[in-house]
Amino acid sequence: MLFEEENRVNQAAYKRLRDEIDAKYPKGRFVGLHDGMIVADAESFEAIDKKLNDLGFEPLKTMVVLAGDDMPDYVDVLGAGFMSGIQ
Amino acid sequence: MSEQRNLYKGRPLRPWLKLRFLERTGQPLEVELLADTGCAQAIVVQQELFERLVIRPTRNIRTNFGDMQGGWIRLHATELGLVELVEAFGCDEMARSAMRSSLDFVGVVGLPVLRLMDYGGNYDSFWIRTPT
Repeated sequence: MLFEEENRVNQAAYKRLRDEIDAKYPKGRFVGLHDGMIVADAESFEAIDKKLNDLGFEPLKTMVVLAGDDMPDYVDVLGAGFMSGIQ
Repeated sequence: MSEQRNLYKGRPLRPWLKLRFLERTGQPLEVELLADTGCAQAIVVQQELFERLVIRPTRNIRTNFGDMQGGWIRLHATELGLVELVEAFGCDEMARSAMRSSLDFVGVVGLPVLRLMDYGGNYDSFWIRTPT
């Protein structure tokens, strides 16, 4: 896993901050996290990518999430005849 | 109208697509992916390939295939008009499942990508095409 420690910190922060992100930012807003903190937000990926670069953060040590992301933490991947462990 | 149509492939037969992405370096990379409308993730590939494609990490998820590391990657299938930033995941277990049908598959393309286009299938092939 790339930059495992930095990723672990940001993933834990997202779990902690997710409700705040969803309440504070409009759905679909790109939000950047670095070192466990929200450091930027923008309307597009290109814009937040530029903001994070301008802040000097190494790309793979930051995390970009979408406000209002409705993907649950656990997802069953379903497909006809395509279940894990079943041939 | 642009279309990609492929005869089902593998054992058992699977629908699939050939899609081009841009690696983090900007280098184009074309891969074959099992097409799965039951997959809620846009793209799931082997972890090694995911790490070559990801430009910024995003949230991870847990699934029936195990934990998946999330990241933004660049889909660059210009011939289809499919040039998009998509949320992808690295998961060796799910990629291995796809490869059990055909060693040509490096992962899965799921509903979030498929629904960007019109898609369908018949007795012998699966297709996607530019929406009318």
